[in-house]
Amino acid sequence: MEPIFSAVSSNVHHLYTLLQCIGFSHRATVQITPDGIRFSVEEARVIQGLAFLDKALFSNYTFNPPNKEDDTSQQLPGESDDSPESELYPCFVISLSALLETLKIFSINDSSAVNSSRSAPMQTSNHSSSNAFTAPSLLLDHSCTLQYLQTGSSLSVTLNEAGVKTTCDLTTYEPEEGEIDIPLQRNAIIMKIIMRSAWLHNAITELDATNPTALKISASATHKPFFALSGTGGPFSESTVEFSVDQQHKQSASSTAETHHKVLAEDGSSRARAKRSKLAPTVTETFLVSPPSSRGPRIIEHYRFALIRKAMRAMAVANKVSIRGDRQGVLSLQFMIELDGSSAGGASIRSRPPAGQPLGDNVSFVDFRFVPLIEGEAEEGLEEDTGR
Amino acid sequence: MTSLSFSLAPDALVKLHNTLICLSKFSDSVTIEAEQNLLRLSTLNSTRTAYSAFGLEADKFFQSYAFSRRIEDETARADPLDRFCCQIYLKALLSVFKGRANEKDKDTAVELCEVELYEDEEQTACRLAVRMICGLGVIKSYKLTYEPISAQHAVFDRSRATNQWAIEPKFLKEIIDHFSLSAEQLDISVDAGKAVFTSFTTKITDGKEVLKQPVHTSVAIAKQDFDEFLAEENLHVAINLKDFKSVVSHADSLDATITARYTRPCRPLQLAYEIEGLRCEFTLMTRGEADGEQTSSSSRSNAPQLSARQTPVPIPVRQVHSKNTNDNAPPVRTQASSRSIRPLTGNSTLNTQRSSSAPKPPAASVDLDSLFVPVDDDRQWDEPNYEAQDEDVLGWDATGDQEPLGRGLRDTEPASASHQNQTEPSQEGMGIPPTQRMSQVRGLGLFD
Repeated sequence: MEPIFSAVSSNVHHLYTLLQCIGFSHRATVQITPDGIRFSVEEARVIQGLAFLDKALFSNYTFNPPNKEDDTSQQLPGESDDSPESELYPCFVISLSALLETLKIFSINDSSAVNSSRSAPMQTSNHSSSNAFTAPSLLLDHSCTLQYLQTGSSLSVTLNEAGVKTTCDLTTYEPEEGEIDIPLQRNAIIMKIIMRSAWLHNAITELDATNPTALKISASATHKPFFALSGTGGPFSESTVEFSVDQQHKQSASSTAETHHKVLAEDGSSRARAKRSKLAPTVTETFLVSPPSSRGPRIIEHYRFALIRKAMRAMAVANKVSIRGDRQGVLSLQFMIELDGSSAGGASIRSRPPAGQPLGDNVSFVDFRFVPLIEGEAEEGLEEDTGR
Repeated sequence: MTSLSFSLAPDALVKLHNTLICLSKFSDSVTIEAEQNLLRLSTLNSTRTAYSAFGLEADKFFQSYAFSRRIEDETARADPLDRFCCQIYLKALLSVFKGRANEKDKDTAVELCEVELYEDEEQTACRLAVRMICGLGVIKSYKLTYEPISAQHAVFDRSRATNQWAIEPKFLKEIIDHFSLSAEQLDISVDAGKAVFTSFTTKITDGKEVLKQPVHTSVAIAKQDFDEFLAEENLHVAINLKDFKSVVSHADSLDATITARYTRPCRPLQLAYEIEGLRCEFTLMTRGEADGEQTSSSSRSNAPQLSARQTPVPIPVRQVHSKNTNDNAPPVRTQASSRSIRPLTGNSTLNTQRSSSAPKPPAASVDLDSLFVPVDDDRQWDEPNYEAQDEDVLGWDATGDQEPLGRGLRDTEPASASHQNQTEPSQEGMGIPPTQRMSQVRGLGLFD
């Protein structure tokens, strides 16, 4: 019998990097779709992490949706947009920590793997391919096969390394009933900020040093400070990182406001910076804030800092981040992670433009959603935490 | 109403960070004193044996510096020392001024650091506001909680120091490499024209178990390597090695020549160095074998060497000497009460703390001398410090019988006269050995 799902990746490290970003919880809900595998992790319904392993990450990706007896007229995967279709895609829970441990087998002696996950993604794209002793040349013989035979069977991970074969069967569990995503109202987005992830990481690290209990996000399109992150409730101090208009670049930032609609695809942060409108912080590429009229000119939301901290690994690895907030205060951090060259393995890579080109096939996304602390709760939470 | 504001350039920020690191090796919190043209950071360690102070000069260290103080209260105006003083937890400061040199993102490196402090009697906020202005319009700001206190300083009279040498820190750094990691003390002596640095650990045994092995490592430095060398031959002074290491590594980071000044064992030793706009001073209590004859002759002249700069009215410490002074008296108590406490004026206040009760191993008391104890006018600090002293003593008492350094270890030692049934101060006085200082004897109110 043909397995429901089988995929081969020649670069395990990419899978590891992506999954590690959401590695804050032990269990992940996995859904296999024709376009890739979706890993979702949540904790107490207030934080959710999503990593999507696109099928482009695999050199071979086959998915045969399980046939239901009552559904003989099943369309081929990918041709249907109907929502019932997605429910037919196999969905199960696995131990994410076990999967990460498994994938780490290859990384143990691979120092480049460790480096690339830590250092800035922009540099890594050139870095690892330039060194004869690092990843690509040594990883040639590596391959990883993910296989899901049939509904209810275990997810088997087979790692092949120069003839040494390691197989790991991960027990799959049935997903909990009523496991739903944190709803982000896409039609009620009141804040959208895109910037380099390193800057967000830097800011959160900075705030983390004073050990705060809550993160306050404050954004305004018209008043200073335009975009500020504050850590409140720390034992010794309060700290704020403010993204403002760089005075030195103000003169050059004379031109129009049209660059507000800069998209991710546009490369070269410096160019983008120069064309910026005056009312957007220098570090942001896109800065859209439109608070509902009932709430005044400024959007202020509080989030539990411990939850934000869970996204720090993704911040460190990612290239860009899109910070979105909806009317209800749900925060979405979408990280664009650029993986270095040899993702799909094979010739398709070499034909691709050199690294640094954004939105190539080797770009993946990891998504985090946070439920805000509602007013009052923020203060309560602080008292609680400081009282400890 | 007090307002203090200053700004720092990136290179000064690095120096400040190094300074804070160095301070954090001595204590948990730093005392910050602002004066018209000086910002002083100082710490006194918990056992009060090491004092470190850094003076940042307003016009050289800072990009800008402004301090103003308006005092409504007439009595306060009389205070000639126009200064503001507060204490901040060092960990909090370090998390703000943390090492930014290795920040990978050069675009958003710190360009300027502004610090502001504003205190109004009407307000109780007590916040020190720090703003890091970084590239690309990123501004990081912090509000740190501080605690208003009054500062304590160890004052060291350089003019009375009889031994003095100066050396580049790299030589000292080199010798530190030779010392065992577990070594605790450093003995400095001069032998045949060479400076000998010996690290050692006092052997500590717990029953049959040896907790700490004595390890001696001696390294000699030729006189020629010193920039200046004037020290008495065969005079041994010992300081805490950890303190010494902290000082040397900081001096090395600044590449500033260290000058050491001291008189004799059990009197403070000062290590000092300075660079443009930054003065560093470390006053460390020494231990060692105090020669009896020398002690008695020099004790009085040396007494003013260390004194408190700020001397509030001394509260007469009168500890009732009800303790039974037989041989069974716990050595711990003996130690704690052996601290010499003398009245500010050297007259009639009874020094009832003195005890010559238990036959006390002199070695045990070696390290107990706080910086401030031998000073006549520092008694106000003694009372709250008993606990710390007691703890300290416990550790040292374990070495009781070792006597690695022999007898008569410190000039203020009441020594080992074991008088039974002493119940009155007058009898106590008889127990005081010849090494007793004259001022102490006077303190008993017997010979005034």
